[in-house]
Amino acid sequence: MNWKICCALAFFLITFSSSVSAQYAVEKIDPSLLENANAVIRLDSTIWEVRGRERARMTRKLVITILEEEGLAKADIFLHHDSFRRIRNIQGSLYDAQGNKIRDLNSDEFEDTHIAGGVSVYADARVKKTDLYMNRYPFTVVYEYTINESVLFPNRTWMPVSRTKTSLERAILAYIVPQEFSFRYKSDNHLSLDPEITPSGRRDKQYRWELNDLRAFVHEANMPPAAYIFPFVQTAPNDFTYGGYSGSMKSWDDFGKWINDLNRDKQELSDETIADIKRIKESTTDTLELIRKIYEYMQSRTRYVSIQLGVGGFEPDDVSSVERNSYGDCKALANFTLALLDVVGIKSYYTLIYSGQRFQEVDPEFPYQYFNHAIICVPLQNDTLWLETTSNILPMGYIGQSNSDRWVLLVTENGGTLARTPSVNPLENSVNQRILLNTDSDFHVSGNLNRKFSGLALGNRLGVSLLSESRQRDIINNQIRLNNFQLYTFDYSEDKTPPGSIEKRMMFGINNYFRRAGQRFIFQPVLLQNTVAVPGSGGERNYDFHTSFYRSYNDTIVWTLPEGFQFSQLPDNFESETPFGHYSIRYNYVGENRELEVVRKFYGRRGHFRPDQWNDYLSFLREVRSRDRTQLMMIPE
Amino acid sequence: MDPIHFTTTWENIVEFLEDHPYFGRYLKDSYHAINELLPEKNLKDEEEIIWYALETIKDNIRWNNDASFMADDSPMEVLENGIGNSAEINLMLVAKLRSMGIDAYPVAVSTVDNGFLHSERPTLIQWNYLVALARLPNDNFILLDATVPKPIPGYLPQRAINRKGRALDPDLNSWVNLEMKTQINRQQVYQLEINEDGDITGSIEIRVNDFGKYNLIQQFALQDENTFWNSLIRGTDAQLSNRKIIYDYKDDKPVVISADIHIPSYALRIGDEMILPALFLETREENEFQAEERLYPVFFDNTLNNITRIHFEIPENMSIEYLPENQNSTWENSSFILLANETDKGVKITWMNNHLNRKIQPEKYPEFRSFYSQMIEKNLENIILSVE
Repeated sequence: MNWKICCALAFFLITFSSSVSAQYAVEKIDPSLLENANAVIRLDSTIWEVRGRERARMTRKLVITILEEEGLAKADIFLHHDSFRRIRNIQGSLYDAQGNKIRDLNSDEFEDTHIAGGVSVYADARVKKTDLYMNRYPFTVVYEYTINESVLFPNRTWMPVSRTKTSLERAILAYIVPQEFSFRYKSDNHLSLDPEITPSGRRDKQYRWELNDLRAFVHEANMPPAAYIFPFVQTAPNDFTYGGYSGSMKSWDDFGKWINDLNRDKQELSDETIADIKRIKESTTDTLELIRKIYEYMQSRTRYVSIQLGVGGFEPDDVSSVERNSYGDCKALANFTLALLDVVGIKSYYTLIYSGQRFQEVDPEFPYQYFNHAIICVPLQNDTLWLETTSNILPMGYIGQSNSDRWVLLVTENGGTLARTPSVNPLENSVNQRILLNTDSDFHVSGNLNRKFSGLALGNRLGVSLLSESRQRDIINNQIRLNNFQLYTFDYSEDKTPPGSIEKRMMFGINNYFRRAGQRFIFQPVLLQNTVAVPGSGGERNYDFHTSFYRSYNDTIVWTLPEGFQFSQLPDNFESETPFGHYSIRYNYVGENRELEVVRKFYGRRGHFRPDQWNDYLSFLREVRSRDRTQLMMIPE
Repeated sequence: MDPIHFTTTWENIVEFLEDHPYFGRYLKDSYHAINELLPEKNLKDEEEIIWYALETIKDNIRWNNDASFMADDSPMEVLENGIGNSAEINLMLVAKLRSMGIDAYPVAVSTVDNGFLHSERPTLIQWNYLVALARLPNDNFILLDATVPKPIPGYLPQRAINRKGRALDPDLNSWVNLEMKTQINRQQVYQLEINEDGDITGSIEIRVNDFGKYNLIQQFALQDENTFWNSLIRGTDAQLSNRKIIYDYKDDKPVVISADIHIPSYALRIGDEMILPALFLETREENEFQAEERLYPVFFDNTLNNITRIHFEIPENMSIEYLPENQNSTWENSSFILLANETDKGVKITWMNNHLNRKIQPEKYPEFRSFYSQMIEKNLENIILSVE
């Protein structure tokens, strides 16, 4: 090659690489994007090319500058892949603060590992991930990769920024699709992200979204889930194919039909199981009792194990697999329970739900795959019963806070229909407590507690009640950290009648609970009740906040006090009713019996509130805490 | 007659490690890497050399959270990439010290998470971490660990303080006590005024030194400062202003933490009287030692010497109705003292507590529990003020 051409080529390459690297120099970041940020996304470009119902390719380039060590975790990527989604041509490079390349990432820095997760025993899902350590800040990492998918499943949310303290220079999402290809999309949170739609080539069209110059979000206490804060675009094809099964997601009805197809012909039970269920039917004429016995039969025969293989993430195992192995995942156990109920003619529906505390609520107007779990819905004449089939200990009808108060998809024989699980009413999920306390002349306290947990308040008490006595004793002692507390006796009893309850009884003693101050004795009458925590501090707030209370507390505490003493003063009774909850405390002293009765009620309300309500919320919680911690003084008569 | 060894000997272990590519040979190769890639400085004072070596290694290699007794990569790779495990970092430190004329040795450690040494017999499998040991003039030794954000000579991170380690070098093959510097010395001074509404306003100053200073400095390097200030006010509605944290991590002076404080309605008003916790923010209500007996010893991360002085200034229309009685109690190497005195302007409370044993054996636990309960009871004392 002519040396002049070589020089020209070399000059071009040097100039080009310099300009490429200079663009990653930290000094080029607008100062407003550095405020409150420990990382800046310089570019996040995601381009999808859809080639048909079963083929799509995604090309992504991600450039992120990590400003300080606190942001280091944001330099890593986690790319899920499986038999339907394969990663190609992944590479990465590191740049220094001036934008000069430090080095390329080695292939062994992209660790490929199995992700069965904390629950799944076997899954074909894997993840390719990095775990970078850097010694000097700031630095920039660039990732480029391609993903080929042999499925077009409507489960794609583009949220270029999903963590606080991260700002964004530029993000692009593009779909290049055949002219005849249709899909749905929606965007939310602060920005109206309408796509630019242009022709692409001769036969395609391009939908393009772009987001620029997004400042870092700062964390605030009680922030709602990410889907309520950060801008996003959700896309969902109308028609799709997954694992050989074709379907439509134009409506909830259509999506339900697809799930129905996956579930079809998987409910044929063995003769032995059918005989068992028929025997159960003969033991009762009450429908609710019959359902309970069948539910407990299912619980006694099975255990939950998570298995996620390809379309198995959606398709339940046949009931014969559950019968043979005595285990199954949520889909298999729900399908098995449905089949058991069907033997005795009880109608029930396989139900898809998102189970968990922090979730994006289903948008009834936007059919989409929001779900990660399956339960059973049993419509009764005057009510609806919901069954969680993955637990061996839950009482019938108890589905927990993680499944309550949200849209779910009932899969009927005709298709899908949305329904709502019971809302969380704190008054129905209660902790009722009665404590009788006797104080002798030496001010030793002996106590008798009866505490009943009902509804969602059962929570993890169910697990505790099944532990050994010594373990239960350890747990109680660890939870009650009152000085000089002695646990004498305790027991638990359970009532499985819906909505279920557990009762705990305890006898105990406390030495030196009353603090002597000369002739006075000081004590806090609200005993053995964890008061509320006050999150964060007051002041201005940028974002809405979210409360997740779901229990009410009703305490009656009766103190029998020693002779020869009286109260210097009793506090006023107090009651507060706010949008955030209710609190009341009442003192009633009967001198002739030397009895002081303290009646306390508290419940918080779940909700989504405006930023300007934050200080009122904190004031309410502070008032509760202050009243709970009120101390009384006794003086000699 | 020479003893018959049915297992190996420490000498054999050292010989084995000297030629091992991920230990002895890594150490030897480190000299070359240090010469190539690390800066040099001509220093004469041993203390200066140790500081310089520690900082140079820390500035150039970041710990990857991997507790390891052996190196994984070569010294050149470690320095080029700027990251390393505990062995890679501290073997490099040993090499750097030696290149600057300081005798230094690698010390094998079993971290706290890894458990106690179950045998003092020569073995390699118990070790999962490495620190360094430098010899000073007069044959004093000093422990070093460059994996932390702000290493200080003589101090090891909590994870490495696990009874004893083993220096494994041809020139020093012996047990090393890892628990030499675990004492936290802490003083708090509160100057406070109280009003009729029970509001408290004033200033706080906290001084922390020795192992407490070392721990705090690492904490400041790793977390948001607000987390630290929130831990001081312990869930109260306290408002802090003029917050300062002053220290020089190279000197032996304490970290000085100061702030102005205001807490509305802190003291409880009952009629004409007011109840005020005598130990203010130092009050501890919880007793972790509720179990009646223990199968295993109680371990404390550190020993402690703590003094708190609180000056409450009360307005003229308030007077002292009750002060806690002075009390002094000792059990083995633990003790507490509460002194409450009236002053011209109000009340002075002095609280001193220390524990100088890190370990309480199970058979001593009932006595310890009783002593600890008394201490909690005493620290819950109140001052009663009357309001005219």
